[in-house]
Amino acid sequence: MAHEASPPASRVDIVRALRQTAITALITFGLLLPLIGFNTVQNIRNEIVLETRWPLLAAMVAIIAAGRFLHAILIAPWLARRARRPRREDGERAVPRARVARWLVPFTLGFAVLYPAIALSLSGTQGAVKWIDNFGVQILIYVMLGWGLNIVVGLAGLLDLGYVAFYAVGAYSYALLASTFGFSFWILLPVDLSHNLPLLPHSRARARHRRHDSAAAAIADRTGMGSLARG
Amino acid sequence: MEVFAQQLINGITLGSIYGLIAIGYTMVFGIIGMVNFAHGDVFMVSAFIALVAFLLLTTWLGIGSFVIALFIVLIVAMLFTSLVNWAIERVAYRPLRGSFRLAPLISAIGMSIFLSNFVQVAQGPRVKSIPPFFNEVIVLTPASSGYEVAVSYKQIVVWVVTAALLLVFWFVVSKTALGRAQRACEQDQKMAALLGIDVDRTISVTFVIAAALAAVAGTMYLMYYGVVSFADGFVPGVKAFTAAVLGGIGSLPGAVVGGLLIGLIETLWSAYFSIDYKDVAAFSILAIVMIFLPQGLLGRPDVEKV
Repeated sequence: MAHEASPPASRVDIVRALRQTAITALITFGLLLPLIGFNTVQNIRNEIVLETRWPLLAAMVAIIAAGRFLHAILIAPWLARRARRPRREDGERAVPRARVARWLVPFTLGFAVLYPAIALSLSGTQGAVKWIDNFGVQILIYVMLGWGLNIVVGLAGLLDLGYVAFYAVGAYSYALLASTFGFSFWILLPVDLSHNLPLLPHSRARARHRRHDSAAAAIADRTGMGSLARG
Repeated sequence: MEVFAQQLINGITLGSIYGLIAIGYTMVFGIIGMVNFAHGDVFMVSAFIALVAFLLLTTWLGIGSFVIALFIVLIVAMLFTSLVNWAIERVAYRPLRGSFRLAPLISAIGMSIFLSNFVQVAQGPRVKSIPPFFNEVIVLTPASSGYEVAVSYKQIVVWVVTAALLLVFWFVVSKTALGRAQRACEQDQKMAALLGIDVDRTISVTFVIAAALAAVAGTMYLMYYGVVSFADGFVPGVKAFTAAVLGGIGSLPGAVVGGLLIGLIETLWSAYFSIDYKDVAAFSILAIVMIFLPQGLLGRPDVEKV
């Protein structure tokens, strides 16, 4: 910082910071007053009554006001100073990023492969059940869902919130067929895939309206399928 | 015939509530081209604010007249919900303006989850119920006929309040400078800004109006059903959105017509077929309408805004 370009603008303005803090505190108070300041509870006669939580409300407002004040006197001037500094070249920043990207994939894959072994060695055969069966399986299911959504949203450009319905159809058809006829997982895997095929023309129809309509249809599907499944 | 008339009455009441929420979707979509998925949860938050205000008035301040209480509750709920929606727009949507198209949408979904979880934590997961009031009914059919067609006072209140607020709101949008600014921003934000309209402010006002109407819907919902829970935002929100799309998103009369239609379809389906499949029926009709009329019933032809 050899030369300060505009000293008056960069100086911390306490009055302004206090005013901003007061406004923020007021807005926060207004936002939190009905639902934090008051609590609706059922009393012993099963009637609904109001209780107040003034200390909680005051604490929340105080925390947010303090955060706003710190932002106004410390973070905002710091950000302003940083914005004035000459930017590094894009190429300079790209180098470390490329290095991270090169190692990220093998590292993640290696971690995924070693994950059960790590879990077993760290928490023993009893404790590892939680890490492998609950977390590991759930994580991989989300990974698969993420892949699918990447195709639908990323490559096809449809915001298909009904995508998760396909997941439900798969789960339901597997559960029903396996419990009714006792088919094994490996038989049902292709069968489940074919169950989702009838939904294909419907996605084609969807692709025609590209904008909000697709989101609408998707939500409609999702809720519709949810109720079909429940019904 | 009597059954049909009764279901018609019930359906219109439900449809008015959907219509009020649908206007919020349609206005916000019209002005910034974003589906505000948090709107259903704003509606739920407004019902909770109305609940707190109602309890405050009746149990603490001891206001005996339900008419006066309801009037004050409506105003309080509108004020606080407007503040909530204004803050949501400032925090979650404005920083993302000019970002890629999906960004505000995902932010809205996050806001929706945030609001329902916030209410769950702040007010507890149990269903809240208020003591019933306005329970008197007016029987429309002569006493000799077997089936009584009745209109409850609650339903009349819902109709009157909805109609009155729609009228006020229609006046604001079509006759005032604010409404003109809003329609200008809908057509072309950059041009509107060049002509001296504060676009950010207009968008904020749109969110405030949308929230005020959602608050009316929330108060009516609380009064009509007498119960509310933190999870009550999603399904009415989705149905109102469906109503907005059905009526042609971006069109204000369309939102009301769509809301009434969805309410009627749902009620009639539940009455004559199966109540379990009422959502499937409502959404199937949406799908059919969208295949044959992609712009909705009253929507304008789609001019691609880039």
